[in-house]
Amino acid sequence: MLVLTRKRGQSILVGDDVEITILEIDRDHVKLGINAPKSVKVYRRELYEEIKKTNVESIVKSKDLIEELFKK
Amino acid sequence: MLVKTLFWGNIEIEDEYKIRFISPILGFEEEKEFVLIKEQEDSPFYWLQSLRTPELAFLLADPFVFFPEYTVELDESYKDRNIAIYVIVSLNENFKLSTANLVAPIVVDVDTKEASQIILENSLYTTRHYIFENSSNPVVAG
Repeated sequence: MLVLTRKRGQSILVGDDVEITILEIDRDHVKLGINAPKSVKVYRRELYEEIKKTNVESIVKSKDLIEELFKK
Repeated sequence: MLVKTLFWGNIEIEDEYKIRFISPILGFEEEKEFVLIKEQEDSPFYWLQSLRTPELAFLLADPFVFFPEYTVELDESYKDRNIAIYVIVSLNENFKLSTANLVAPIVVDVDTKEASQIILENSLYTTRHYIFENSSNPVVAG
């Protein structure tokens, strides 16, 4: 892993068109500003993982549940 | 087209119900082609059945029926396109506790049949909101 040290207001470039700027540092919180083309998706990792997990848990596994639902 | 399903066996479905994920359902990156069919006329529920994997089906819902205040902010690439929005339902054995994923809806271009699961970063929505309670409160505050 590449490790870089940055101060507030400084940024890094990822490729030619993604820029990540350190906006604020407050104890163990860092606020980042990200400039990237629309085609580059930027997500918090834990949200991404949570969605993945929920998707997997949402596979319909039982016909009984469905029938119960549609009886209503 | 003949579609193999786990719950209904082989069923004949018109090609017009086929959709293709250009941005995948997260965790199902290999699954591109599905059919999207309404559960019944007048039903807010839909089936999303994989064409590749008979065992893979999701229950989707029209979010605006259950969450009238629901708001999805789409990027400019969706401007002037005819789109439909669905949310994935997670069924619970006590079906009253079933939830919908409002933070990652499925967006379908009605004309091109291209679908994406999008993530609403910076929204107040979570992956689990009770659908049978008239509330958009998440199950667990996130």
